[in-house]
Amino acid sequence: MQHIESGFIDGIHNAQQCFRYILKALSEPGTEVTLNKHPGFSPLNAATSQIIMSLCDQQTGVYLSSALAESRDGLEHAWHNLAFHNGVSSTPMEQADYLVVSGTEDLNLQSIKAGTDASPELSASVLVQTTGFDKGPRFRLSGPGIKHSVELQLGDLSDNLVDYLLKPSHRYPLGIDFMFCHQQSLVAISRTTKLELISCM
Amino acid sequence: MTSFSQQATALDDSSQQYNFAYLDEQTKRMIRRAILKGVAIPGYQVPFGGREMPMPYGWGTGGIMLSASILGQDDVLKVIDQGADDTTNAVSIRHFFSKVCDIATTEKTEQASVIQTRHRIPEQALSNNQILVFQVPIPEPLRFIEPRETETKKMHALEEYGSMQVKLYEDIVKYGYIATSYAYPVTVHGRYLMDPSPIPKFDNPKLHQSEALMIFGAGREKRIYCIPPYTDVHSLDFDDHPFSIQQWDEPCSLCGSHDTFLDEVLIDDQGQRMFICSDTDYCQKQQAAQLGAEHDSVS
Ligand SMILES: [Zn+2]
Repeated sequence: MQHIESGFIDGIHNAQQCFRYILKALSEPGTEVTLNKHPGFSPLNAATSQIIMSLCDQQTGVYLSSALAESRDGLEHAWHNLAFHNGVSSTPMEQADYLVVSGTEDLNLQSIKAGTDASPELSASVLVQTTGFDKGPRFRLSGPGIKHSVELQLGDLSDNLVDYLLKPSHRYPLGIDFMFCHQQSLVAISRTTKLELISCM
Repeated sequence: MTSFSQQATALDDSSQQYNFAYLDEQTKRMIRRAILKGVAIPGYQVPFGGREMPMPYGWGTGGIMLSASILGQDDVLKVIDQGADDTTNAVSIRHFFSKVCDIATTEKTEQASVIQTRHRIPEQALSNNQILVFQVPIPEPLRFIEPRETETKKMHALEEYGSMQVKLYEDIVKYGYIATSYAYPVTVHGRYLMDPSPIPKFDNPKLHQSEALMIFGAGREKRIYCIPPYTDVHSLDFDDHPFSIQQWDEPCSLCGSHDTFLDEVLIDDQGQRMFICSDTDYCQKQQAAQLGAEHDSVS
């Protein structure tokens, strides 16, 4: 059952506007931005969809986790639309440049591209669909892009995602950059961001 | 070879359609992805591919490609060349973008959302909602020490920066001080050695914990690197020879500022010289403020 929905109303400018918010989010980790140019292709939320639509095309490998949908067919709708509007196609987790996962799934982050010492940019961005920024463990963030420090919640997260955020198994400059997405909201965590656990809610 | 200003003007006459901000969307996406990587790995040179801009290198193609990828309809663009808004290069680039983006431009630092610059950082402190785009001629700080790209890439991977310290120390041995005064190397977030482009070292302290995002683009070598806001940037130095910036004995002849970067200019053919701010917008603002103050005291 293929059902193609409309993409950005104004492709060129909407993509530019989304990019600037994504740039703001990643250059200032912990800062929440709103992406409101498209409602999203279910089961991807609005923010996740707009990030893929702004940044991805035939040149990028995209992976959508099966944990995002109730059934295997549940991702078809999103794939058809992303393929139609952006020309993206499915890539195995190990080769993907952009991954969309659920914050509560049991993730094997060690199998995701984290770059090499010579080319740390050959690493993946992980878009985490989360339950909201008023739930889950409370973290203190510091590092580049953050004036002093900032405290926030990133939603309900699986234990291994929390473990990775607190103690990344990749050594900088290798690493993974995270974009936490809930509805239209985006909060990014760069590989340079240091997280401390304040309380486990 | 036609000049950039001729090429920019040719766009006016051409009946050919061009995309918003000139670049095609696929190239913009690629540059945008590279910018995001650069932000995540501060000071690291991210390579990018893509098509050529319609102008010769040396006119700031790297900065122009970056600006073209970030600018949107609501942006207000300022372009400076060595601090001045009115040089041929700055005027041409401003003209190019108002043509291909139909966006507002300004000469006032505080009114700009995006500032493209060659060789200076504005005197006025930038704010958190501004982006500074640098034109970079040679992105690799180790290039003068090691001409082979494969080797410099290895040096960055292994964080082998001793040769740069040696080069600076040779200055001290030869001159008694560090003679490097432009493109003075920095370390970003305690990791990558970075060339801040040929800004005077006077501007280096403005890179440290900047409020504004800074993005650097080299067109010929196709490299992008970034310094996010609130990031530690350290100018290389030695315990017995700490980093210091240029200083002048006299203030700006036009506005009287004591704390700006001054250019020495010849004012007649007898060799008379004076020192004036290189940042023309800042200098004019200081002069206007003084006129205002004088006016107030008279009335
Ligand atoms: Zn002055």
